[in-house]
Amino acid sequence: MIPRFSVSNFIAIVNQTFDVAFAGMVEVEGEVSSFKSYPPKYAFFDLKDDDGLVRCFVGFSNLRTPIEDGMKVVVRAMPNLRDNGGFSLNIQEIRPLGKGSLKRSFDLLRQKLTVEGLFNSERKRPLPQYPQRVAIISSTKAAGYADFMKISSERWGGVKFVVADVNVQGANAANQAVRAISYFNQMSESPDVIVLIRGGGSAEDLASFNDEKLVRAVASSRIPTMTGIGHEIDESLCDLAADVRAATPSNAAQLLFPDKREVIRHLHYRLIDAKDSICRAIEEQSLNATMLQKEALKQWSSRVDAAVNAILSQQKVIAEYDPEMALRRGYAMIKGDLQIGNIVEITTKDIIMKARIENSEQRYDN
Amino acid sequence: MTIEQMMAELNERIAWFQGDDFNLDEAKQKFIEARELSKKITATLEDMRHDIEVLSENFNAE
Repeated sequence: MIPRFSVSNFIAIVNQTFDVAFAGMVEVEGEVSSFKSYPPKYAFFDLKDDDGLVRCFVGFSNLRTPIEDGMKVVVRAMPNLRDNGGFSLNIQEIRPLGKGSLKRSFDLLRQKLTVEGLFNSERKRPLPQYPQRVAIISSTKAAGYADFMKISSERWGGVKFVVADVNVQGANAANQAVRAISYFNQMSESPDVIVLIRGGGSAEDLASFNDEKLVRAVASSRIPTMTGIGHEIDESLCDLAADVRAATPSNAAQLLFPDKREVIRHLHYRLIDAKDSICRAIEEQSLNATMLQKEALKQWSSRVDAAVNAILSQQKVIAEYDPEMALRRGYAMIKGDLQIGNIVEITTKDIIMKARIENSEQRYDN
Repeated sequence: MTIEQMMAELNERIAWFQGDDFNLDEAKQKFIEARELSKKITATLEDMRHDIEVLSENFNAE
């Protein structure tokens, strides 16, 4: 028997059939055309390929990446037959497809967020030198996560890692990361840093890190953020919004943690420096003592010289008074009572003789 | 005492050797103390292990 419905019942049955057929959700890929947006509420566009076209409706909160006509996209949506008979896809998520569309979307969002100042260097905060609590947003099954943990363990220790195990690509990856950032920001015991980790992949694999809501969540996180996404050449908008961008997950561990072997080496060198300071001080003081000793010796020596000179000149003076010196110069010495008729003793340099005084007279008139 | 605190203390102790307060009378004792602290830091660094907690929260849920 052919079923018969009222119009509204028919519409309800069709929508239920969609629900059953697609478990509520379907992914459709195609090219965007006739894109019209009515910010901040919603946008409409057609999704088409060579042989068909379907109308799409998207609320602004689900429009997380810039879309324009000509872009190839994949939408995750609920098919919906509306009360007025119109059919549309109610979009929950929309992702650009293919290198060209991804690049265009990336450039448009980058331009928009740059104008807003989201990537300004003044916004960047330094990370702690020795982080003790580190929040990780990654997939615990991903190679990038394993690399990060391996390098972290080699370099440092004693860190409490709190890991949000999320999808790092595909549908809902960005939403999960946004919720994880919010979760960490509300923790009673805040982590010192939040690190987004994801190993290498294709541009489409990494596209969730260019999601506008996620980029804004990274930029507005109260807790400093770091990214270690993809390879060195990959640059995501999350990288630009984060406080610190590491080139890879391994590099994130290198930037986040000091290498304990280097720290130990550095400690050793610092102790050597301290030891050198002591040796230098001993050397300086020893040199100083030697110089003082030399100076004292010099002073003593100069005083001895002065004393010797003084003695020598005293000796000269004394020598001048020696009668023998006068005798040597040809003078004679007379001893006795110098009265006329008396005999006196005359001593010269070589002989002693006796003589009688026959006459005497004053030499000067006094 | 955390590693950070121990490193800060060691830096302070080592800085004394380059500062104006340095004198040979105290230097030997200060050096012994710095060396002991350095040994303690080295031992702590070598023994440290990470603690990893994977959250059970479902981040898929609204």
